[in-house]
Parts: sequence; structure tokens; C-alpha cells
Amino acid sequence: MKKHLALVAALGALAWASQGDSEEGAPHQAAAVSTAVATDDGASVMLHRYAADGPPVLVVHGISSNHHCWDLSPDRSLGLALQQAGFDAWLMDLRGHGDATHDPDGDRQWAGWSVDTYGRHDLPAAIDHIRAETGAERVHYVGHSLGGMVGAIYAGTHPGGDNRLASLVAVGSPMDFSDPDPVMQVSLTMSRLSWVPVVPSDVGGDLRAALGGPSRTPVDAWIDGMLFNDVHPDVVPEMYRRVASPLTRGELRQLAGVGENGFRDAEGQVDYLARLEGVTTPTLVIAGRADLIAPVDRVLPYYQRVGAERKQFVIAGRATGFAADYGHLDLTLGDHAAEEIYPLILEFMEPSDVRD
Amino acid sequence: MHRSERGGGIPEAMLAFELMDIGASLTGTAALVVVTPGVQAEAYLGWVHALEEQGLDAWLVRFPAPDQTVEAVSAGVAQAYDTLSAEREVVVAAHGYGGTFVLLSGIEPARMALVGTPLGPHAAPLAMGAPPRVVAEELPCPLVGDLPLEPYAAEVGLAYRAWTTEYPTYTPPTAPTLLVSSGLDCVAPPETVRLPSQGWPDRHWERTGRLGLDLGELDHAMLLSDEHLAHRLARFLAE
Repeated sequence: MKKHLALVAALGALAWASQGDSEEGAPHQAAAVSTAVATDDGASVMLHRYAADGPPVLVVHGISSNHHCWDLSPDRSLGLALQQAGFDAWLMDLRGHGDATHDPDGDRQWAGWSVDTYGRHDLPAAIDHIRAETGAERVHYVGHSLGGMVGAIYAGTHPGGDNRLASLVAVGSPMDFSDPDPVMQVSLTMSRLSWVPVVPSDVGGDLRAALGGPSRTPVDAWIDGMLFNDVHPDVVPEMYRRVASPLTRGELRQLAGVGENGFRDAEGQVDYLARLEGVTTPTLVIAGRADLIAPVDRVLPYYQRVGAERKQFVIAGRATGFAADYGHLDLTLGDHAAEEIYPLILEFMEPSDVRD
Repeated sequence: MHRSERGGGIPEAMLAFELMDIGASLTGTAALVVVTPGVQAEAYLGWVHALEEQGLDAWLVRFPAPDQTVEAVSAGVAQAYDTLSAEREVVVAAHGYGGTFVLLSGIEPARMALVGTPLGPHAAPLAMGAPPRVVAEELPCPLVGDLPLEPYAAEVGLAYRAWTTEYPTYTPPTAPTLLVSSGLDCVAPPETVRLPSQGWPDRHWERTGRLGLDLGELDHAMLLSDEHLAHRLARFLAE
């Protein structure tokens, strides 16, 4: 036991030291301009803008993540790829994630909301801000994982939401949770029992980063395998250090019910998958063949149910002609994402008009 | 034991099948293992051993004729099943497209296990090689792993290709049916198994790999060769 505690302490110290190194290493973010935006319920989100003259695009991260999942380094940045293609890219930190740690009064925002909150308050604030800043009527939307689910909430339930989106791109976003697998059942049970207001998965990310690139134990090999399949070991520590953000009890409690009731609002009244049938925004859904957080069969119903006339479903895997079988994070920052996933997103958005 | 029999309207040469009592000759329930045209019968020996360990009498049915048709193979499955079930209870196990022939045959065994069998079309187009002309030598998805293949009828190979985009019509079985799929199986990934089977009367769905508390992910070949999976299948059929 003493040995175990000593190891944890040593890893913690190493993680802290590594964090320091990272700060000195001038993290990539040079071209982005960051703006805090207040929401209508008194919270704050952060937008990181890679400005260009073209149509605006809002890019949103997933659960326990932040905007770095779309912007880790110059060669793993959808923000830069969009900017270089002429799009006006806005990468978002939802409340409590990444750089959105404080509300407009300067108080720490770290718990007390659910997934619904992101679709009902955070996205409307960001989209209205972008529309006001750019003069565009509509905004392209790209969401990874929970970001795509939140996009579905906004498009399917927010008054006027569907009309304010020029396109909706959901990447690795599960919408079907029937037939829960054993690991999913364990996760949902733990979510239901969660009593702490915040799960500090960012600390876990720091600890994993301290272990270095290749996984060394069965435990970190298992966790790595759940998250990615095509990320060079040299990139892994930076990814864990910068992408992980805390989970909140509200998120977990809401998601705990998906196995029994599907993806619904926290009160269990609104079926978000069913609401997709009323969404007419052109929609691209991308799933990773080796994605274990959002397996293809849990993402496919997003595409099947959305009411858009123009819609497309892509499976990123070797059997469908891609260079790799994409895992969950491979879709946003894997070794082949810039050459295979980003162009799909750009190509899909291209024909859509953002002005009336 | 080898038999070949004539079915209504189908020429004898095309109907030819081999029904083999493989392993020990046991009494009691028979387990009919349907060999997929294009796959060597030896690849199923692990299943045979696991089935016999559970006290089931394992039989293999295979379709070696080079000019087979989908109809003839389906009829052959039905005939092999009828032959065995005339005397005893029969359970059925199949891997990959072998399971499709089981569904097309319309048989109603006591229990059934379909492993890596697609039950509906793929959700996105597969990257396939050139279509077969005289004989087929690979499955439509070339990424099947270390699966021992053998040449088979081009017509059947063309059917396999067609089934990736348009799956044939079948009646869902009423028997308790184990359905196993792996995320890395390019022939029958979970979206072609779990979602199309949601209305089945008595299906038991299992996803292999990490999400199923296994250590690693299995490809199409490994679904047939994995020892633990063979024992799971055998236990299910012996219940």
C-alpha cells in the first residue's frame, strides 16, 4: 500500500512538472483570438477565433474535453484548416471547460449544470455572438462526440435553432444507447452513483501524460485503446495534458439514463433523437470504425433520423478506404485526421450559404 | 459420412453438399455447423471441439461444388437440417455469410448462433476489389484477417458483394439466437447486426472486444478462431 501511495505521489509530482514544461513550450494558439461570451443564465463560454473572410463555423468539443481536441498543434488543427480554406473558424470552450473557467463576475464555474444547459444556453450565446460579429444569418456547426449531441439539442429544440445553422456536422456523436454493452452498463451505473460535483478527469489526463507516449501497463493500454487508435506516441502526452477537462455530476446524471430511456433532457420529457426528425439543416455524420466511445451502430441513428434532405454518413475505417480504423479522438486529432477527416468537413460545408 | 441429395427444381450437380459427422459420434442433440462457401472447413475445428465438450454431436455441412448458386446453398442447408432433425433435436451455428444461408434456408432449429453474420446492408460503401469472373477467391471485404479461404462459385461471390448494399429478405428466426459481432469485423460490423435484429423475438446480442469486457478487438477471422468465443457459443447452444 505504501508503495502504491508513493507511486501515486511520484506520478502527481511528475504530472505537475510536465505541466510546467508545457507552459514553457509555447503552446500552439498563435493565430487565434479568444473572447469570453456571457450566456443568458449568467455563465460564460469562451470562443477562440481563427478569423477569415468566409462563412463562420462554430466548432465544439465533446464531454470531458475542450477546444484543444480540435486544435492541438498546427498539423492537428481544424481551426487552422478552416481558416486556410477561407472559413471564419470559432472554436468553443463550453462552460467549465478549457479556458471557460470563470463566469462574467469572475467566479469559478465548475458544476451545477446538465448537458441540456449546453444546448439551451451555451450554444445560443455563441451562435448569436458569431452572427452579430460577422453579419451572417447562419453559422456552420461542427461538434465532436457530445458536441454533436449538443448540436442536435440546439437544432432540434431551440426556437429558430434549425434556421440559424448552415450545416450540422456531427463527428463521433452517439445518439442510440439501446442494447447497452457491459462496459456501458458499468459506466452508466457509476454515473448514476456519482456523488461528487466534479470528476477531475483533467488530473487523470495529467497523470497519464506523465507516463509518456506508449502505454506501459494493461490499465493505461486499455484506456488508451478506448480513446484512440491512430495517434503517434510522441503526441499522446500532449494530448492527455491539454484535452482533458473535468466532468460534472449534472452531465453524468443526465447521461446515466440513456440506457433505459435514450438521449433525453434531464427531466426525461424530450427525446432528442426523435427531435432530429424535424431538423432540415444539411447534416454530415462521421463515425470511426474503431471508436469505442461512440461505436458506429450508436452513431448511425443520428444520420438515419435527421430530417435533412441533404445528409451524408461516413465511416472512417480501412474497409471504407481510409488509412486507419479511427478511434474516438483519432477523428479530431489522429495522425490522419488532417488529410482525411478535415477535408470531408470542408467539402460538405462548401455549398451551403450562410446569408439570406 | 457424405451425402448429396436432389432438391426440387435445382440440378443435382449444383445442389451437392457434404454433410459430415465430425469428431466423436454422440447421441442427443446435434449441432449443425454451416461452412461458408469460400472458407475452408478446417477453420471450424475449434467450434467442433467446443461443441462436443458441451455434449453436442457436431456435424459440418459444406458446399464444395464450383458452380454453386445462392438458392442451391440455401436449399442444401435446409436439406442437411432436415436430414438431422428427422431423428433428433438440432441446433445450428454459422459464421459470416454462412449465417445468411441459414436465414435464407428458413429452418427453425432449437437454438442458433450466428457469429459475424451481417443481418442487413452496410451503412457506407466498402472498398472492394474487382468482382469475380469464373471463381471467387476472396470475400468482398478483403480485411477479414487470417481466415483460410478457398476458391468458390463466382455467382456466390457476386451475391456476397451485392449483400453489402442490398441484403436479401428473410424471416427472423423465432428460436433463441445468439448474435455476436465485433466492431473491427468488416464483414458484419455491429451496425449490420444489432440494429437490423432489434425486432427479433428472442435474440441474444453480444459485442466482442473491450466494450464486451474482452482484452482486444477481433476481426472476422478471429471471430471463428477465438477459443473463448467458441466456448461461449457452445454453452449457449447447449442450454
